[in-house]
Amino acid sequence: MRRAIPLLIFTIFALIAAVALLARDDSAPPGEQAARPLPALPLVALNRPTEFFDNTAYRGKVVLFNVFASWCLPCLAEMRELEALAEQFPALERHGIVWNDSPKNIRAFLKKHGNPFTMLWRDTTGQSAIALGLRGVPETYLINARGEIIYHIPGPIDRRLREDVLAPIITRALAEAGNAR
Amino acid sequence: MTAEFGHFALILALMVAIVQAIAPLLRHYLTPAAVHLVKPAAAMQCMLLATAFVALIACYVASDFSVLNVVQNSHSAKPLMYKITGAWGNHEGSMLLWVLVLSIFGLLVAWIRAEDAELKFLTLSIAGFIAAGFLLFILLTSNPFWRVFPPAPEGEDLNPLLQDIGLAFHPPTLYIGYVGYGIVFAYAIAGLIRGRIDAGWARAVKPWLGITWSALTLGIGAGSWWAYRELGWGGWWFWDPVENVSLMPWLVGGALLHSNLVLEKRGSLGRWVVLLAILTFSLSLIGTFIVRSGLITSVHAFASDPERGLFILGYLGIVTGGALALYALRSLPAAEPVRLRSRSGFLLLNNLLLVTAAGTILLATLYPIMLELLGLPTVSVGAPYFNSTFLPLTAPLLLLAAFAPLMAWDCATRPQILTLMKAAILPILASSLLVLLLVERDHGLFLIGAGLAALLTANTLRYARKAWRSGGFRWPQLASITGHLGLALFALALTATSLGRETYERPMVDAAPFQFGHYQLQMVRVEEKTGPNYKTRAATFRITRGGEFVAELTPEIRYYPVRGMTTSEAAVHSRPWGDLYLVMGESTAGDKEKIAIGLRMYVSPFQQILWLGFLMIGASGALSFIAALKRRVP
Repeated sequence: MRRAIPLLIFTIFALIAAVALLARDDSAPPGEQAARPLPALPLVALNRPTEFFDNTAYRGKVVLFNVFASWCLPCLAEMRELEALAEQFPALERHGIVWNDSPKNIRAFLKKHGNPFTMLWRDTTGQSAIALGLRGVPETYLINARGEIIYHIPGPIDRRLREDVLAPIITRALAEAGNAR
Repeated sequence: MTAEFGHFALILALMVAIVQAIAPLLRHYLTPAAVHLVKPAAAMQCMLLATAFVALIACYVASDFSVLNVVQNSHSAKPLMYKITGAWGNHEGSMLLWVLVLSIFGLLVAWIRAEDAELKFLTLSIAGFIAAGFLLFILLTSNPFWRVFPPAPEGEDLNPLLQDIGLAFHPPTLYIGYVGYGIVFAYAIAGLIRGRIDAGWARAVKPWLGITWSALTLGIGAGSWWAYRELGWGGWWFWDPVENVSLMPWLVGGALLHSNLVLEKRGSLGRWVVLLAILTFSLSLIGTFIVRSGLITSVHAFASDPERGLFILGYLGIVTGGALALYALRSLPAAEPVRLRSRSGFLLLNNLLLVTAAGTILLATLYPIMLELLGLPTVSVGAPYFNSTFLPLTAPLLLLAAFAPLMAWDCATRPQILTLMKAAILPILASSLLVLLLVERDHGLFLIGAGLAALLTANTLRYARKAWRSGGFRWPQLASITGHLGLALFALALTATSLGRETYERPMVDAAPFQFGHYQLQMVRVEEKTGPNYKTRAATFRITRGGEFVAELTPEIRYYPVRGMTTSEAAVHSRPWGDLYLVMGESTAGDKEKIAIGLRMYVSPFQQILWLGFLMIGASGALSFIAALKRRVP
């Protein structure tokens, strides 16, 4: 029976891996997480290199951060959904964070595909990406009136995600902000 | 059209691989003539996969953005060179390269004359089975030829960090190593099926063990060399998970290479050798998949495609599980037991140490992944763990390598051992004296490292002298001598670089001369230049020691405006006894006026000897390949 020991060890490992793989719950919407305070982000305004981001300046407002780049196709695909959000929620602050791209490319990109943002920032050092926990572009973060990240979407927003998940959360956050003021 | 051509070739290759795999069944149930199927099948499979691979490269060269894989991994503005290498720089393309290399190995096995035709027939059939599984995986979950509609206007990848020649060519070299163990595995299964793992089997596997180990060594060495020169940390091994998964098959493959010698000479250890062959290939598979599926860099990439993960697990289950089941069921004829006090015994001990070392790495690699999969807080396992678990195992390994070649195969007598012990005194004393004279600190560990290296060198030279006197060197002896001398150099350099490395750092504020250890540095000039797609600021330093000129080094900071990225180019002055490594740190301050650039210098003793050690160990594998082939090719 000693000859079966390697098989036995392998089987145990394989079973653990299989269970772990199958038991993963993928049904939850992407990005659901507990609220955490917005970290300090050393961002520079795209059009005014002397203006820096201050993470207390937008208290009382609901802010949507969208990290994007002009070379990223999913970001382009997502623009339509961001425009739709802009139409539906004019009170929502929509901030674009440019990641790993030049201002020139970004201006050309926004001119060509439309600009859904109320403000544009650059992450010149990469520190903001680290502070946010960025995995790639595009990613979207929703910040409530108390300055907490309440929702995080790794990857592009599609229509279903916008209508079924994002819109209700934004509505609720805006209502809360109204009460807070 | 090109993409469909490649896609079709890929499907045809799967069909051919299936025929190759079921050839033994066809022979049994249909006609004995099926024996003649495997050779042309192996050739055809290789041809078809080469066609598919060329088609993929053609899609990349033409920047065909209607192919999803090209969209995701290329960009029309990339230099042609990196468009081509980009074809295998991603998951799908690299999987295609994997089967292509496997089929090339298959073709070689089919071509080279074998002393045991039945073993070759079964081996090729198993290789066909492995290839069929892989091709199915590619076609179903990782197809590089999938189209996207509507076609994308532009590709997504233009990252200068990935555009590096080192990154482009180091993975294929590693792959030759990984995939070669697929052939060894096929031999092992074929041997198990027949119930014959003997000296003849060992001779048949030997060339493949040599060449794969050589490729793996050079692949790992090239990767380390690139990291040393390009990453600007002055180090060359970071115990990074990706490095670790390549080290595991190397260690177990090394064990396999050595125990196969015992099987070849004495007919013993057959069962152990087969188990190692199964283990090595499984580790290679796990390594390829872990790196390529993104399991390590981000567990999320794995989970986002559960289909792929399950397929991988299923494939591993069939290949490794099936092999281990066969291993459990088959009984092999009993062989002569191995005595500890002999060359065979020492080789067996070496095997135990190597496998234990691989086990410690496997544990460190799988543990964080398991934690993450189970949803527990993750940990990262780093250098302290390896320094206390892995490194202590290497000292007895060196001792074994020093003594084993001088021992008799069956059983060494007491006087023989006494002679060996006496001969060991001189090199140890000499090296200790040198260390005490030359080294300023860390004497204890230095004494162990240098002593072992000196002993290994002295004993290997003794072995060489013995071999030369008994009628000149033969190829296998040359392989052993080169490998062990390389190992001695490697051990010495490893001790010196890890214990004796000095680091100096200072902010560059003015142009006044300054002192880094024994060296005086004087900034000579600062230049701003423009490269093909970057701007660079280069500072030249004149380095002197005790008034004597040593070198002029010019480290650079490069700025790539397109991506807004800054890279640091180190300048290295290499001498046989050590490197001077000068690098400027990136400026962290955002204020353009007051940039304080940090200057670091590393003094790495014996750094070049380390690369020489890598090369010699790699060469020994190649020599063993030649040695084994010389017998077979007329």
